[in-house]
Amino acid sequence: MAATSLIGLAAALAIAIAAFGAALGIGMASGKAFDAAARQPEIFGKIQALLFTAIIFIEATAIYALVVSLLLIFVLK
Amino acid sequence: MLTFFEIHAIARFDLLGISVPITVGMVVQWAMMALVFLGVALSHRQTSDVPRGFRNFAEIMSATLRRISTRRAAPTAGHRARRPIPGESLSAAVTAVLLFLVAFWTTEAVTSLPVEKTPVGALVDAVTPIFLALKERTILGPVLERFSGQDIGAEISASIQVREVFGFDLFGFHVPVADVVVVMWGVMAVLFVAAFFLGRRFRPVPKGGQLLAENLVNGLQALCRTVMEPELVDRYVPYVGSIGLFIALCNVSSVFRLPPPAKNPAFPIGLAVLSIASVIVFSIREVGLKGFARSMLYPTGIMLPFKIIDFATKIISLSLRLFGNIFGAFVFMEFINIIMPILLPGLVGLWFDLADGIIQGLVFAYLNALYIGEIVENAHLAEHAEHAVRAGRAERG
Repeated sequence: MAATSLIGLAAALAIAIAAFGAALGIGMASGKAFDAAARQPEIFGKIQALLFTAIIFIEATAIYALVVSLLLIFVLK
Repeated sequence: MLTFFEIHAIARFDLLGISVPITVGMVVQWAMMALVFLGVALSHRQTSDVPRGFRNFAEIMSATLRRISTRRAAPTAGHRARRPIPGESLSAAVTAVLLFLVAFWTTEAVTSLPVEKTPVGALVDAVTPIFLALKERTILGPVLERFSGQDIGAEISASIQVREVFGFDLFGFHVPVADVVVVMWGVMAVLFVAAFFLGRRFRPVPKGGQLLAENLVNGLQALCRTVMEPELVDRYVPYVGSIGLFIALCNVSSVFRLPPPAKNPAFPIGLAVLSIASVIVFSIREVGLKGFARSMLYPTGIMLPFKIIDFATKIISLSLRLFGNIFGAFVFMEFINIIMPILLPGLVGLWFDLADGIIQGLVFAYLNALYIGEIVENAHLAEHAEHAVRAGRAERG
């Protein structure tokens, strides 16, 4: 029972910490992108493409943690 | 042990060996999707000038939504013809359905919970007979019956298993065909049929299916144009677009409670390996072996080992992104379906089944385009740098 609870805690912590980081990263990236867009509205298209790419890569880190926590739940359990 | 609702299957049908249950949640979800499409279709109609009653409410709602989405004031009435308001019928219908469902589900929850003798309990006691009568006389009554003592973990674990639908023997080897493979065949069939019917008899003024196809292709071209050199776009939109559409449709298949192929890690890993192989082949075709070698050595030769490792990382990141998103969404939707199959799956599924699946398909396609564009661009940059160095040497020497 103790092992199961520990695994549950580990899974929750894994996704929680990664989601914290990813959310912070996406927030900073989009904030800076909006700043840039407000300063130079004419290059908004380019900024949007860059932002999209950056968000995909930042989000990937959270997805890795999600996979790890799902593995913890379904494989170790 | 907590008690939860069971997935109440109203009906089941066999699709090539997969037993597909139809639950109340699914019906609600389909109804909501149908309402969305209906609302979009109806919103293109011209509406009469004076809204009245329920329509008035709907128009106010949709005008508010539109003001939020366009950040502009609603157009004032004037000499201009009234523009159709998107989603006015939708918001009305959805509100009605939601109210009905919330009422029904709360009655279900309230009537089956032990309620203390509180003011709320007394109120519930007073209203309960009415709801019970409703429950007995409507078709949903038996469906809504409470089920207790369920092991959710075991149920989800069972649902994430890939089942063998049928198999055949080939030269003495047993070849199993899994349900996710059957779903992939179905998606491929849908894509072939759609491509056949949308791709013929083009008219100068697009209409109907042609409009859809043209918008799709335009969108994919715009997506590729952001990461590729313009002369590459036309050559690689077919590849990027078909991989994106295929993945998007595969993921959306979970709306029909079919197993999404990406919940099986073999699907995303195979796709990622294939797409990185295609990226390498395409960029070699584009800039030649020499150009490819140049791009690997750009900006300096020290980058070579990292660029080689990068291909492996790309495979891992592509496959894990798709797998994690879809598998996570699948598990979450299964959980939602188990704990509350009435209202929630329809709402939550709009994101987890529809939007997330389509976005992941789009992202996969976008990254493919990005990787091709990156290698080609690096090759060109390296070539320019080489020319500049050579020209400088010639000048000096």
